[in-house]
This record gives sequence, structure tokens and C-alpha cells, in this order.
Amino acid sequence: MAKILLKNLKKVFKGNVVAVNNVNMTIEEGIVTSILGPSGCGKTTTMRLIAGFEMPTDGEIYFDGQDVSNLGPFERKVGMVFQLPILYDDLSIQENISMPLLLSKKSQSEISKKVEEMCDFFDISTNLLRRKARGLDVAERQKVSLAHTFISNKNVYLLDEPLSNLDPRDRIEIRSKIKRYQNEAKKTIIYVTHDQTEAMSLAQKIAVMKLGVILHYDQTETVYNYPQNSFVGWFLGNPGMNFIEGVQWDASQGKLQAGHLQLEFNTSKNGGKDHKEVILGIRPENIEVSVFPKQGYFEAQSDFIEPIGNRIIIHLVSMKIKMKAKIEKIKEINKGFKVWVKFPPDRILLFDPKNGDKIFP
Amino acid sequence: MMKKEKGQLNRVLVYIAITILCFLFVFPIYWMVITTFKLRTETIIFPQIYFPQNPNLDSYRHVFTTTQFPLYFKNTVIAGVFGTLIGLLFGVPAAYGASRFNFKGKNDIMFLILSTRFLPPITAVLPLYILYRNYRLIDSILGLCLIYAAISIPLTSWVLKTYFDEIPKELEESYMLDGHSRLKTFIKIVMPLSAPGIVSVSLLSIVGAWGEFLFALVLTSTQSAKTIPVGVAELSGDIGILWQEICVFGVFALVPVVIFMIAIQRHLIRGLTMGALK
Amino acid sequence: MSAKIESNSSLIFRNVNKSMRNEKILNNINLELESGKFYCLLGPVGAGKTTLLKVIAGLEEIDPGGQINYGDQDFDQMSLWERNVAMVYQNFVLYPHFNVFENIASPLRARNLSKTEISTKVQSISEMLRIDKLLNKRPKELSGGEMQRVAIARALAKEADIYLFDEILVNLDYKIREEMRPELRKITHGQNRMVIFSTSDPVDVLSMGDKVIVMDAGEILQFGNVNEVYEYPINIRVGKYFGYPEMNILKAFITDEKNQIQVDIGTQKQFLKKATSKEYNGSYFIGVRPEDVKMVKQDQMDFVQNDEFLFLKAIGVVSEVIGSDTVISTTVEKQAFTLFHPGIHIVEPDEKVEVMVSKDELLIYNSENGEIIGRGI
Repeated sequence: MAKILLKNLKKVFKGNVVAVNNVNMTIEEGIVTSILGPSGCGKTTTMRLIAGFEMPTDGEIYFDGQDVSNLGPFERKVGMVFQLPILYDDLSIQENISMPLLLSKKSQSEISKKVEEMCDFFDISTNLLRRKARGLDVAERQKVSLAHTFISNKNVYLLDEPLSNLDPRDRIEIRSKIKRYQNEAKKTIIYVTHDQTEAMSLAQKIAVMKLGVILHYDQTETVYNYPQNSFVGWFLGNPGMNFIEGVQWDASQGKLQAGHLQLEFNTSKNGGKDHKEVILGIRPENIEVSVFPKQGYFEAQSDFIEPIGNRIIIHLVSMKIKMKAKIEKIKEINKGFKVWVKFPPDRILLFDPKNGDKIFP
Repeated sequence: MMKKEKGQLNRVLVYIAITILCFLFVFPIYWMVITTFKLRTETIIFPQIYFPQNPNLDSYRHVFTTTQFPLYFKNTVIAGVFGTLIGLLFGVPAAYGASRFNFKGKNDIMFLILSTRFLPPITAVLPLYILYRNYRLIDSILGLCLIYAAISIPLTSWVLKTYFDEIPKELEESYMLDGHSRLKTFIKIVMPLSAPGIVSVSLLSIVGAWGEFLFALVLTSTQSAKTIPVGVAELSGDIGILWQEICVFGVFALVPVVIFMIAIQRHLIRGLTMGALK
Repeated sequence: MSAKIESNSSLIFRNVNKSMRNEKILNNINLELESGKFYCLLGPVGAGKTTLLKVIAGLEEIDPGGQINYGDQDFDQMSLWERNVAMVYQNFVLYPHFNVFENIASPLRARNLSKTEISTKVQSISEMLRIDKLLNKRPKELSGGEMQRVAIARALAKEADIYLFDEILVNLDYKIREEMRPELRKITHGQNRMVIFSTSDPVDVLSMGDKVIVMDAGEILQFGNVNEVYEYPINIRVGKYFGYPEMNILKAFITDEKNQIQVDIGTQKQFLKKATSKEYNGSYFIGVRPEDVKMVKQDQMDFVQNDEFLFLKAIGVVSEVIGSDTVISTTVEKQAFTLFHPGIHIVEPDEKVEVMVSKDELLIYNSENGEIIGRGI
């Protein structure tokens, strides 16, 4: 395992396309770090730079203090799993999984034991071991790819959207297998994805990237609950954070004016003394909704209802303000219904309208 | 050796190899061109003169006054271009049919078409001469067009079939679902997207006709239908071999092809822009 | 020229089969679909969903003996450019050599509309899909989400009676998928159009569909209102495909004991109050949706005697915290069992926990053929 340091990393492609723009990051050993962001944000390029498939235009990469710029992927001892499973079709599953150990000094029985261990972790039935890899469905193939990659000891494992080509059901199943494996093995894994549920489920730390820049890099709960940028708040969460623009913040009074709504907000520390225009952010699951009028709640209408498991996402409108709330399934609520809504003050976050950076708390 | 240095050495070796190859290809052409500017005596003396002292246009004047060059040029162009067009007329639908539809004996028919190219031309020459004589096609441009069309059809249909195979069926399906007929779909979707393919086979076909000698020689007897290659052959007769005139023919034969190639090079290199499908 | 048909027509499938190389891709499809409804076609990969859509569009033919009618028109007699059907593909299929404007205008040109009419319509459709600034661009200059909108705009331009969407969200980023769902719903809503949206993601169905058609191996397993099918999946396969996370299936032995029902799951025995008139005797499969499972809190421990709930002792395998929810994987008597907990609660591997499900939410299935016996015990 190795601690990885990215220093002033920059990658520019032909035509002046800056894919990775001055990235500085330390990746801890023994945990899953996710690089998360929309298509084109630079996450795959960053990963390829770490692996050694691309040369940086500027900056360095260190594995345990050693500059690896001159080393290729094999010399860096990097394990990779790609979006599409890469297997040797004509070899058996057993041979595919044990391949990385062929050059090691391990005995046949040791290798067999390791293969069985991997099969157990990734739920590959031992009956399949003798079968040729060709003909398996894509989910099985990806499980074999994972077993193949994790069976050997590498400095870091890079997983590039490994589940995005799978059925939703297979995705959840294999995701929990990876999680279970990591709980035991505690390897250094970098997980690149655009799917925030995958990132949050698997990673202890998340780096959210946009247009080649890291917007927020921290523990998962922190990035989720206290995003440093409105984009991060929007990107994480199912659905993402709600934003209301043009909100007037009177810090000294502890009041927020959002259009026609006057909202309670705490002043106590670091509020400052001035009047500012801010963007108000609040997560859908933190919004309180009541079917009866209540003290401190404001009126809104439900515009669209999306069932999700045993809860619903209710699209609300109050005058011109739109938001989504995630609440328990209430059978009485229908489209066009009137409800009463409250934003608990301790769940409100404020962002700077100019650049989206968080200004409070 | 560090990776960087090894890379540089490789690159130098590659450049040297490319330079040698370029030289081998370009030198004969250079020789041909300068021969046209030499005096007749300069052409045949030994050691060779690599650069004429007094370049002159005598040979050009000679060709245009004493030979039927302009006529031959016209004939070659017409036979090549129209022959290719007729070839496309048959080859393109054949390729489309082979690519999009499945019918009994398809593979056999396609192989049959291809097999005509296996035939050594010399074996076909005599029967064709008799056939042409019966249909009064001897000594006619039409006759040459037909033979060049026949030669180009196997190439056209096979190469274009693979081009059409590369165009996703969904594009046509989608266009037809928009409400257009299959014919319109072919014209607006398939043809533009296979333009590079169509252009390359046309080029190969025209260039092939341009330099084709055997059939042109046998199937033409008077000046009216002769082509440039035949004309060149006429220039080596009793008097001796008129090298300069041959080279002038050569230069004029080469120039249009070069211009054409430069003009359509963009098409060939661009390839298919399949950016619409992920 | 596409024929304009009475827009209140029904699309009727009768004995529709399709075989290809001795494999039955569509098996005895009988359906009646109405205008104005948003149908979701749900099933795993290879279920035959794409083939069903292609057969409606006319891109594939059905075996003789079957019939597809729309209103009073026999689709068999119509070539694909005559049917009033529009289709949007999973991989967009934009014409690479046309710009966005021309892509969208294509169906309008087929109808021989005037230049101004075409221009106005393209403008309004592209505004609705927020791509009006991209009209001059070529497909290769667009992002995935933009390409998808152009493909949808082109389908809408056809002003067809039937819209077919073939897994169109699959190639899009997670966030874009999230945004597109309510948008798609809004765009097709209230225009008396029939939409058939094929997907393998149950979330799409739950958030967008009026009715769902569940398919597997070329057959229709169940067809009905989304809520009804979700509450009452008539066989185990429907339950499994229509759930996120997937429905849990437990093997159980259930017998009648006077006024009670004895439920044995492995070594765990308990008694539940009998509520229905159904009689149980033998082995069954019990379906439990992960979101219906609740963690038994410490102060609810005396609940354990309650015969309205099925209690299970589970052993933790892994917990995944996703934002403010947790997906907890466990095993119950060595059978996999997942809970979807609306809050953050981590169950450590090998930790013993107690969970409960209301007996009204249990789905009982026949252990031999997987068909439903009832909902609730």
C-alpha cells in the first residue's frame, strides 16, 4: 500500500484543453477515496495520470515520497478495473483470477486458496471456476475482473466507473461486495465515478471535481453535510441540495428574506454584521413538511410527486420559489395540494452568489 | 538507456527510412519531368545529366504539333470518368443490397462478382474483341467505358459494402421513421456518410483506367478512340524511342491525377465523423 | 408521408410472437395500450423490450398469425415510414453530418411543411428542451445530455401518436438522469400521446410511469398501474425486477395452527395473527421489500411478542451510508436480506440485529412456480 501525493498536477491536451488544472491532493492509505464529478470534469484523466498512462504537463506524483514520473503503470504497481471487464476469453475463470500470481513465488495450493477467497468475497460460484470466461454475462465478468485485480498486492487500486455498464440490480449487489471486501482488506482504492450513490456508499473520502478542479476534498459526511461549494451540494444527494437565489441575509438580526418568506436563522458566531445577498441551500430530506398549518411554517403547493422506496420526493412551489422535499409517504398528499413547510435553521447553509463558495456555517 | 533517449533514436531512424522511401518514389518522377526540358541529345548520353543546362520547351511543342495527344487525352478522360460512373451505377446498389439485405445465394453472387478480377485480362481479350466486333463497339469510347465499368464493379461493390456495413443501421432506421422513403434515406444519409469510400473507389477506378493498356490497345484501331497509354506505345516505333515525347505524355498524364488527389485528400483523411453515436 | 390517425386510438397486440434463429424473442404478447398514458416497459437485459418497441415502429417483423393494430389501422400493412410512431434510441442516433437544426427538422421535412413552419416548430421545440442555443452545432460538439435532448426534440417534431423511448437514460450521468425524469414526464404530459418507455431501472418506472408492463424472456409477466403492480407483484420475478434495492426472498415453512399462523424461517419460529381466509401448509417464498423492513429499536424490544409483525434475527454483512439513508446488507438464516433504512445507522459485519416487517406487507409466493398466493398473512 502506498500514500499518494499529487502536487500541482496539470494536464493540457491538444487544442488547449485543460483537463486537470493544478490539482493538489494526498490520498490516504488503506481507505477508499472517490473522485466524483460529471462527465468531462477531469476525473478519468487524473486517474490515468496516477496510473501512468498519461504524462503530466506539469506537476509531480509521489508514491510514498518517491517521484514516479518516470515509471510506467507496471512499475508503479497499480491495479486497475475498467468500465468494461477485461478478461482472457479463452482461459478459465480460475486461470483468469490466478494470473497475476503466476509470477509470484507462491505454491499451487496457496494460489488456489487465494482464488477461493476472492470468489467468496465477490460471490463467484466455485462451479464456474473451470468454465471459460467467454459466455459469462457482463456482471459475472466484472466480478471476475475485480477478483483478478485484487488478488495481488499493489500500491494502489484504481477503479474507473466499474459498475456503470451493469443493470441497476447488479450494480447494488456488486457494490456491496466491494464494500465488504474493503472492510476486510483495507486496501488503498481510488474509485472514479459520476454516480454519487456509489461514491457515498464506498468511499471514506470524496473529492468532487468540476472542469479540472477539485471543489471539495474531505470525509464523506463532511462533504455531504457541509459542502464547500453549491455545486458540491447539488451534486451529492438523491435528490441534490435545493438552492434559493436572491436571498437577503441580515446577519445582525439573524433573519433571512427569501422573496416573500421571512426565515429564522441563527446569528450567534461568525455571522458578521452586514447585509448580504446570498444563495440559501437546504437538503430535501431536512425540509419539514406538514399537512396542517403549524407555527413557523410557510404555505406551499405540491407540484409533482415522485415515489422513491417508502418515501416520496415532493416538488413544492411557494410563490416563485421552487424546492424539493424528501418525506415519508403520506397518502393524502396529491398534486396541487397545499402543505406547510419549514426550513430548520440549523440545516440552512449559505453560499456566495458570485462563485458558489460556502459562506456559512 | 533512458526511455526518452530511446524514443529519440527511434524517431531519427524512422525519419531516415521515410526520407529514403520518399526519394525512391519521387526520383523517377523528377527524372521524367526534367527529361521533358532536355535537348534530345541530352536524353541519351551517358553519364546522365541531372540538371539540363538549357531547359527548353521543344519536346512539348513537338508533342502538340506532331501527335494526337489532345485527342488521346480527351479519350482517356472520358473513358475513365464515364467508365467509373457506369461502374458506380451498378456497384453502389449492389454494395448496398449486399450490406443491408440477406437473400439466398448472396455470398455466392458476391464471390462471383469478385472472381471476375481473378481472371488474367489477356485471356479475356480475344473473346471480348470478337464480342465487341459483333456489336460494333470496336474503336468507340463507349466500348472502353463499358470495359472500364466492368473492371471497376468488383472493387466498387466490395469496398463500398464494407463502408456501408460501417454505417449503423439505426441511422437509416431513424431517418425512415422520421417519414422518409428508403430511397431518400439512401441519398441523404448513406451516400454522404460513405462519401470517403465512394470517392476512394472512384479515384482508384479512374486512375486504373488512366493507365490501362491492354484493352485500350486491342479494342481500338483508329485514332478516334485511342487513349494515352496506347499513344505512348506508338511513340516507340521505327525511328527509335522518342523519350522526351513519352515523358511529355507522362507529365500530362500525371498532372491531373496529382491535382485531383490533392483536392480530395481532405475527404480521404477525414474519414467518417461518427460523433453522433456514443 | 406519415398518416394521421384519430388520436384516441388504442394500440392492440394480439398473439404477437417473434422468433429469430429458433429462439422466441417475443412470446404470445397480448396487450391493449391507450393514448395519453405513459407506459413503462420494465425488464432485465434480454427480456425483449427493444424488440417489442422495434415491432411497433416497424423495424422488425412479427411472426405470421399475430396482429398489431392502431385504431383501425393494421400495422402489418404499413411500412415504417407510414406509421405515426417516433422512436428515441439509447445511443441517441443523431445524423452526424446534419447540424442540430437539421436533425430536429428531419421529420418536418418529411411532411413537406413550408420553410417558415419548419423554422417555427423547431424553434419552439428546442426552447422547450432548452437546446435553442445549440441549433448550429454538430452532434460531435455536444455533451451526452445535450445529444439526448436533441434526439427527443427530433422525436417530438414528428408529432406522432406513439413515442417509443428505448432505455434513453442509460448512457447519461447520474445527475442528468435525475433531471430528465420529471422533464420527460412534463413534456409528454397532457398531449394525448402514448409514451412507451423501456428501462431496466425500477426508479424510472416509479417516478414517471402511469402503468407498467413487466417483461422477461419475451413474455409479459404483469401489466397494470404502477402502484398496483408495486404493491402486488404477481410472481417472484416481477417482485425482483421491480424494486430498488431488489426485493428480498426468504424460504419459509408456513402452517395453520387454529387461529394462528406458524412461520418458520430456518430455525426462527414465530406465530402471526391470522387475518385472511387463506390456508397455508408447506414451504413458501416470502417476499419482503427492503424499504418495508424496520430496525427494532431497544425500547421496542417488548414488541417482540406482537403477532402483527414478522421478527427476524439478522447478522450484519455490510452497511452503506448514502447521504442520509443506509442500505444494510445482512443474512437471515444464511439467506441474503437487505434493509433500506431512512437514516444513518451502521450495522457492523457479524453484528446481530433484530428487524421487523408488518405482516400486511409480506408477499407470499408458491415455492414451486413463484406465483403469488397473497399479500399479507
